Amino acid sequence: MIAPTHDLVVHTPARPSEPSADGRAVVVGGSLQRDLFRLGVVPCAAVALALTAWFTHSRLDTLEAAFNAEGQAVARQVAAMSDLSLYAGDLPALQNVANAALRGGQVTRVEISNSAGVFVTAGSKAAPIGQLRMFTAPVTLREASKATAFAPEGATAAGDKPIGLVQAFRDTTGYARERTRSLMAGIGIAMVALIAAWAWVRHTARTVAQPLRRISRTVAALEAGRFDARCNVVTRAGKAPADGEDEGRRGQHELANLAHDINRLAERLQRNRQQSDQQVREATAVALQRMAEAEQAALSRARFLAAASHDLRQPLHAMGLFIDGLLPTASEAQRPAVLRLQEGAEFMGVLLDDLLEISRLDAQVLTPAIANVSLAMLFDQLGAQHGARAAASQVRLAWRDRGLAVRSDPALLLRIIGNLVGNAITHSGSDGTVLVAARRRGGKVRIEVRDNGVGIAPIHQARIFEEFYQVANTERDRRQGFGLGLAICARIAALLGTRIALRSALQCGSAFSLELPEADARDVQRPVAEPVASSPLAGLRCMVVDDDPAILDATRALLTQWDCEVECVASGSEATRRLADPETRLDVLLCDLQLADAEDGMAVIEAARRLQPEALAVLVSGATGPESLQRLRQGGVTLLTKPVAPAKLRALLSTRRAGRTPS
Amino acid sequence: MFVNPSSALLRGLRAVAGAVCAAAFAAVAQAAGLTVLLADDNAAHAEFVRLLRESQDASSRFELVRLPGDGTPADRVVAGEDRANAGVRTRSLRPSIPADAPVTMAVGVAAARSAIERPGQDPLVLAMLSRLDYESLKGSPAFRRGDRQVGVLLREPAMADQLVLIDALLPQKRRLGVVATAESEPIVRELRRAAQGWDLHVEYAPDATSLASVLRLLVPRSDALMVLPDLIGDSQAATLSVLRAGATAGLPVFGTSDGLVRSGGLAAAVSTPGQLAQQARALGQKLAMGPVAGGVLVEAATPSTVRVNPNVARGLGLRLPEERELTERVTAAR
Repeated sequence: MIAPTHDLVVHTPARPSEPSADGRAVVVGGSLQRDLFRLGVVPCAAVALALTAWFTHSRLDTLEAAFNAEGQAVARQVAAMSDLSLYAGDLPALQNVANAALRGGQVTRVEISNSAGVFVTAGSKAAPIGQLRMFTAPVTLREASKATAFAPEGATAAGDKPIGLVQAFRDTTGYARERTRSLMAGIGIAMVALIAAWAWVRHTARTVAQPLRRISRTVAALEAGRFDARCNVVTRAGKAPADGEDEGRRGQHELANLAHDINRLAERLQRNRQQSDQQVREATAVALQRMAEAEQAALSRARFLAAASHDLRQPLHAMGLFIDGLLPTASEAQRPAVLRLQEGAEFMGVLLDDLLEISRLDAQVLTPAIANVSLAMLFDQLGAQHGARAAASQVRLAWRDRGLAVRSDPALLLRIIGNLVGNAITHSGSDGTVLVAARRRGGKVRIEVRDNGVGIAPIHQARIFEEFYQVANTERDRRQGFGLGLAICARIAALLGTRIALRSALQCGSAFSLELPEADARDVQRPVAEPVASSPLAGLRCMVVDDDPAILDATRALLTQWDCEVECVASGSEATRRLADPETRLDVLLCDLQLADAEDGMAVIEAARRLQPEALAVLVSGATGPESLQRLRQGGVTLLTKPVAPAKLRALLSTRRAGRTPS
Repeated sequence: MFVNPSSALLRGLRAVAGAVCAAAFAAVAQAAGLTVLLADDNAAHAEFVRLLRESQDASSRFELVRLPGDGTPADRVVAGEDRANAGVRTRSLRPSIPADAPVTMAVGVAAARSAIERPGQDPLVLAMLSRLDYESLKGSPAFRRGDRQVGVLLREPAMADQLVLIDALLPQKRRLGVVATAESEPIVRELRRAAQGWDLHVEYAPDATSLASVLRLLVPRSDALMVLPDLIGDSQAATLSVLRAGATAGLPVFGTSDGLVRSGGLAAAVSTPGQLAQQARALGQKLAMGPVAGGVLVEAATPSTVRVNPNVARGLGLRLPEERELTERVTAAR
């Protein structure tokens, strides 16, 4: 659509998104009514002005010619009448002639003279010379007599020679008045013609522009989605052309035909809109149903995962504790089997941790703690974590931090980079090299983990971030992981507002990268290094609260091995009572979340905080549901997720022991 | 226009006429009675009558009789010893008519025609007649009555006087062209008689309004043109035609009247009303003194002056003698 839709639009260039047929934009200005107005008025005005100017000029010329001719005629007439009298010097006769010439009123003064001193004048001399126009005529006998044949043979033609001069003076006042009147009449006629043309063209332009404006408004309404808009433009007979009346349309007004076509188009659009609305409603209903089903399925999956995780963790936790208890006392024949049991329990724990991590990320219960992170420190930690493994795999690790810092959650970032470095070490062959480099890129810092291993085929590149998807592990060797690492990394990266990019080719290695906002390295807060004490746990007073007798027994056995003083309680109420006992002095409280008789472990934790403020209250739970995790996070408790690795528990208790020593 | 003398000229001539009349009538001891018949209001005739009355002796009787158009006497104005009554209708104061030689004078052709048809024995003077008037009256049977002395005074001078003037002005030019009509024959005959030694060309026009073809023939063969006191001379249009033809061709035109000279003629020997009055009175005396041969005495006017148009002379490139000198030459020739 190129034409403007409203008459008040000053400049409406053609829309660039809707090019015209020849590719060039057609620029229009003003309005159609104004264009039609100009189209009509300008030629009319030009013709009217030209004709008026021409007629006025002719009229003025005619007046001028008539005025001059009249004056000249009088002069010649006087000259003709006075020829013989002037020849004879008959002054009375000349006076009579001059007076007779004045009687006509055409001239105001007449002068007859010759070179012999004859001078006869008649008429008033009062008029100023500026208002008079003079006409002269020579007095010749020949002209007067018309009798050239009277001249004798060989005689000089005396008749050709003027014998005097007649001067007639006309007053130009009336002539000037007539000129002015003619001029004003011309201007008046021109003005009348212009006004008539203006009125007629304005009427015509309005007649043409009004239906077009109405059509334009209708089209605009259609464009705005109001498909019930119609052009009410009909012919003078009030009859719109019917469908298929092509023969009848030829004789009708084009604008009426256009309006009729637009009305038909609007009807069709309205019909299609209704149909599409119906289809959209149906499709929306289907989509909503499927979405509800999907949500239901997701909820079911989450519940399944949470329940499975919890129900699996309980026995696995107990099993791990028992195995750790059995290992020191196992015979040489039993020891390999116990070790295999311990390895299997550890793998199951790792699997459950990963599942719990994914569940947490999907539940969006994690809130990243954004801070300025020094990449040098980050890479140092990573180097310490992976240095031994890399050395064992004969893989060289190279770190290029370039002194950069980023704004991110340091723990989550450490998790991502560590997972990528671990994968790189795994997939680099011996004598391989893993390069972790950071470089500044457009206000951001790009961290890249590159190896020169076997690389990833393009067919796998799009799927390696899916859960449980592993390349070249069709036998599902659990020692190569469960295929959840990259899925967790992708979720953490999304939580940090970035994404992990991959560039890889077979036999050319792989490069995983992510971009993070740059931070000023000088603003990085140095962490205070906590001294890790490895002091013995002997004498540590511990209370274990769990409704599962097996767990209570296993935990008692383990803690006893570590020379701790253990008190086991099976219910929350009992635990609370014990905590309230003034004789009780606890260093550590290990409490299950879900206790028997619908008792809540959180209440025990709260009581311990209140009654034994110096004790370390640790909640041990296998619950991985989003609601539970959210509640625990809000409670700010120290959480150990079942199954708890004995080493992890020992490390936690060691920090407590170290923390108590100064006091 | 051509026959009306200007009043200024008449005023000048009035004194001259009075002196001449006094000298002429001083020898006449007796005072004759004069009856003047006037039948029209012609200004020249009125002037003539006025001068005639002024030259009348105080002791003699002067009776002015105004005739209507049909010639019967309508009223009389008598002037005589009481000069205070001059010009006043005095029918009741009719003086006694002197017994010695009363003369009747008719002024103009209308009065002349009435006078000759009236019975009476008194000598009759027909004054202020043109030559054609005289010719028309001459055919009348009452004109030649044996019992009455008739004198005719023509108002124009004789053709011989005009020829003398032409000779004085153009001594080397002898070719004189004359346009005439059939009625002009008596004047032409007089001109031919007087034009001895002249190369006279006379062309007759069918009438006074058809002069162009005649003038076309005449002008190339003439050194000067002459307008006769005939139908052409009496017609303003015809006279102007001749004058324009002469002016166009560079020929001088001569005439017999003052008006013709003023309208474009070169010169004319003219007589004044005073002169005519004196001549008429003398003619009456002649008739009163005795019978004349044939009963009719015809006299042409005696030229008293010469009129010259200096503008025309300048236009023609002529150097002319003064009017006084020319007048002397014309009058001396008589």
